[in-house]
Amino acid sequence: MSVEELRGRPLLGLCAGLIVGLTAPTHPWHLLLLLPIFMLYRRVDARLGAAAVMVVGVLIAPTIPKSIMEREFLRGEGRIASVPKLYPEFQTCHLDFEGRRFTLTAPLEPPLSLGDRVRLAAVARPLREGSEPFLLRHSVVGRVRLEGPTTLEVVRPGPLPYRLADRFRRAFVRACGETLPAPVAAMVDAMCFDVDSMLDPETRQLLQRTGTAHIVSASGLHVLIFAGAAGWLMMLLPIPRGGQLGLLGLVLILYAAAAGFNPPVLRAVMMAYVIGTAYLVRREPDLLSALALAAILYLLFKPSGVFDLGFMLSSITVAAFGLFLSRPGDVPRRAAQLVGHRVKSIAGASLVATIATAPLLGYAFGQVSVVSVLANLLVVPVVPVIMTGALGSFLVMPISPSVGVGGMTVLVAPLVGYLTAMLEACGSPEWAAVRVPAFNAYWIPLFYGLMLTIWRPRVVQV
Amino acid sequence: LSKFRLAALWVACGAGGVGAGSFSTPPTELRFLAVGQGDCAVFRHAGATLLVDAGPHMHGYDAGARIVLPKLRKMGVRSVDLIVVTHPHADHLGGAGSVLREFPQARLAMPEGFRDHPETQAQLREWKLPAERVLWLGREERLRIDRARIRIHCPPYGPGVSVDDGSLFLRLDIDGAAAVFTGDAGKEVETRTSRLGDWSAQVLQVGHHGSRTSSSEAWLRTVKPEYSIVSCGRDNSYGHPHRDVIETLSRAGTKILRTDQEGDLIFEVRDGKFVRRGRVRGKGKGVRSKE
Repeated sequence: MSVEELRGRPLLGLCAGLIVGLTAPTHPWHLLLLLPIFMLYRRVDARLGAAAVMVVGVLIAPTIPKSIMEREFLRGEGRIASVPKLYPEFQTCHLDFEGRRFTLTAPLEPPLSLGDRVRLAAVARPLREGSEPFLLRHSVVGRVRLEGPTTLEVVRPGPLPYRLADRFRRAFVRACGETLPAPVAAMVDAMCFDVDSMLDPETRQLLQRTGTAHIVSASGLHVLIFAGAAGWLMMLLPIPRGGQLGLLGLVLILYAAAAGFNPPVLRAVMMAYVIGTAYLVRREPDLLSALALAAILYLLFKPSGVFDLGFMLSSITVAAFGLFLSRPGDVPRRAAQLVGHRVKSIAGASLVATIATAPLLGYAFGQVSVVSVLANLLVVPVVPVIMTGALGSFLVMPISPSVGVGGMTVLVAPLVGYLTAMLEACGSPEWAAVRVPAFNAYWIPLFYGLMLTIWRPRVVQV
Repeated sequence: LSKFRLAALWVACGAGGVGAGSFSTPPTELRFLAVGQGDCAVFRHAGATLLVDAGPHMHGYDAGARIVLPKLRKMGVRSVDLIVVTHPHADHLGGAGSVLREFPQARLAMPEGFRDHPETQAQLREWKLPAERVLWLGREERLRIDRARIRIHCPPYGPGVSVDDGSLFLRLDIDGAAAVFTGDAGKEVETRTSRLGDWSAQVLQVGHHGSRTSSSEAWLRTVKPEYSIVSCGRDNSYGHPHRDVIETLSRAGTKILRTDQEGDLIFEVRDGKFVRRGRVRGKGKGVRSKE
């Protein structure tokens, strides 16, 4: 392993210091991890930087609150603190009310959006036993469910970009529901905007068993596809490159808002900003440093994200890509060679992602897919076509409804059918996923430490 | 380090970890899981795992998948051997489907009287579990897991008897420490059963989640529990545990522990007694039990 390669990336040290600080209050022995960081980074300023962000981490470390234990009546004004998740009959989101956070389940009307100030009169109940550990980690202390004629009123709408993004997402979900069969629409909603509430349990199980759950959970892949499609459209605009990039950044923020501001999307959008900025100032972007900076910014913005499984999986996958994927060579021109090249690169990425995420998935879900590489190879190539096809058809609908509906039914629906068939074929056999016995969580950092030791510096330059 | 040595170190660490996990025997413990409005207790001894009820599956919420399985996993349970279901109501039997799916080698055990009960039949059909795979329990059964002895009494069930009153009674005894489970059996059945042998126990799972239909004073005099466990859901719509039951238990001088307030309740066997351990989360304060 080339230690110099790591030393040349001080942001990695800062990121590690911040993670140590954020987790130290709950796991004090993590402070010992500062030693290897200090041993690696010998320069005084790098050490001071790591120590400083570690202190910042300790100061802003998330605290786990206690659930309310009895019913409480809430009357007054609160603020919608998350992008609502959409269900067929209702929407759910976080509500900040008088310094505490609750889950709010409300009818679809009025449509809520992040940042809305709402007035309500409702009963807050204790958290259910099953969801308590997860929700407490997100600072939620109780649940509010509004049923029947609403007792909820939006008194001041949230910021315009959030409302626009929310309106776009709701309109897209409605359009998919009207033009596609329900299971297909559920899959498309999940793939494009992380609206996974309509997916049936069998499909979820298949996605997990085939190691393809990432396709229905908005993440870096989706941001990449979205940025690619939006970037291509912007290239048609007669504006300078800098302006195009600025506009693309704005569009990506709107997409992140529409996709629920989930940690992997935020991480990917931040990375896109870092890489875009590097491009503008004519610096060669570095994937690992961009990842470290995006992680630092995200964790400063949302310290509880350090315990978020989605954030961990997404960051580890990108880090593994940066460390272990070979630099892409010249793209062949012949069709057959091009196909071979693409197959090789998807299989390579899938293999790296599978190995890198296996310990975390095994720990969290107790199973690891053994068909992941094959399933991703069969499924991932159609994801960009489905996403761009569905979004394009939706955008065309107001201008030419027949073309829009045609795009959905002729292009999107058959591809989703193909995708579902592949998932069933790969995920149905008993041996598609192996069960992993329970193990201590500290095996995970050991695994990644050892993985790092076999790294040969072949960092992908973007 | 050369690549070869690194690989060897990696394999050795993995093998060491798996080996250490495989050869260590989990401690003997009895754990009442906080599964919401339902019952589920896990007994582990000599490498075997026994469940008494499996948590609720009601209103689309499967506590078996959402609560029981993750907790079993966290406890390091690699196999479940037997699931004893007191009676076929969804808050006791419902979660068994997910547990059986995860641990297909586990055997389900139920009172013979419920064999033809529509709820039993419907559940077995849904789980695609042939009735022959179920261990149908007769009037009196005795099981043994190494040093642990289990006595099961199934009250007669038939026309005119409610499903609740058909709940089996189970007494678990290990090295002199005993625990008793009664499902949702009512006071009359408690009284009748109290005449049938020794039901004294240090730990009692309070019948019917603390409903006033159970836990008669006579039954409490028979069992003489040091700890009374009320397994009920937080903010449940049934009002469990009932005020009268809490008063009866208090008068009996037993220590009342509620899963809705304190989360999982864990007991270890030490010197012939169940000793409570783990975090207590009553009134929102985290303290460590010194009992």
